[in-house]
Amino acid sequence: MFDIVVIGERCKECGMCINVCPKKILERGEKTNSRGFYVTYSPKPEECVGCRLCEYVCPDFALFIRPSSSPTYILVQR
Amino acid sequence: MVETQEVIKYPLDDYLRTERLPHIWCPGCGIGMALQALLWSIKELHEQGVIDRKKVCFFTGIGCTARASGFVKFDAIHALHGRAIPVATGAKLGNPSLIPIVFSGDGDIAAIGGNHLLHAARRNFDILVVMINNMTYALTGGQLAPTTPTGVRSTTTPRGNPENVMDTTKFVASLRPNFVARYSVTQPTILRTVFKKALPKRGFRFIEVMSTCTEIFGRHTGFRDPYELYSRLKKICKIKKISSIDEIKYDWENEITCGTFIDKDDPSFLDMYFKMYKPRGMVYGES
Repeated sequence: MFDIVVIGERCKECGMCINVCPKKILERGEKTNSRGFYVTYSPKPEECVGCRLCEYVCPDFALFIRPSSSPTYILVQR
Repeated sequence: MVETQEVIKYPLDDYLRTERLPHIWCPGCGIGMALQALLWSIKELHEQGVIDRKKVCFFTGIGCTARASGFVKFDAIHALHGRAIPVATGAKLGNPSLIPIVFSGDGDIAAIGGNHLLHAARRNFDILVVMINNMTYALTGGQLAPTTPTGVRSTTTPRGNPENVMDTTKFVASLRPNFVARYSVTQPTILRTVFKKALPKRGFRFIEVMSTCTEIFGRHTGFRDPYELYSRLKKICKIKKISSIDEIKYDWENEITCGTFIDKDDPSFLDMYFKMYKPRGMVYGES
């Protein structure tokens, strides 16, 4: 069980995390950050297996996975 | 979905100047992935007590990769073009307890600073050199670099590169320093373990990281999407065990051989220097 945490202001919408995810649970979101990029969104974070490939390929230090008891998608707006 | 204003820290936030993020690199750039792997290895080694993070210092030249010195929370010098290795050499000689890391691109280390690379490797001098190879001069607009593979298009060679390519790993390995490796950003966990292995070692350590330049190199060679270039690099970067350094290949069409090619523990420059000259008031390791 894992939380998917995205720091919205750092995302640059490159789509690397969306493409490398083996379970295909990440997608381009509908909300933009202050620079106009569509921040990565996960509709079903409970399916995350915690391989952390999305964290490794994120070049902007914007996305990370952390263990938790209740899987949630968390968008940090700062 | 939870939206929150509270401060959730990224695991590497202690090692980054977060007020300067987001960084200047293009979306999907491989430099961020390589920097992340390096920072993770420093973090893990610091938590294990192997190295002290306050002793780590960054030396970078000029280029896209060299902007990293502004984003990391270490002592850092953004040196002259190609002169990152001499500055790191001077810092290590002045204070042998430092852990200098030269983190720069292929245009800076292999092209402009090629002579400095040669002589630092010949002396087996105690620095870690991480060369991010994105196969082009990215910051100035995609001109031909010595590491651009033969036949590949760039801004200055619109019909393909007619020159022979410089395989920097093979060139450094011929001078027999203590550690020579080449890996790719498409192998992130291996990259992290290799950094962890190379950081506490002595002598000259050279790690070439094959990276993706999505906006400049990718567009000239026909990749419209960062992931297309990433998967192409993933396909051609093959990890192999080799018997001789002549067997490694640097070919954009078929194979870029990855792996750890030299790993030995010969006495480094400072080991020899302290043995012969015994400078007063200076300590290096146990000797």
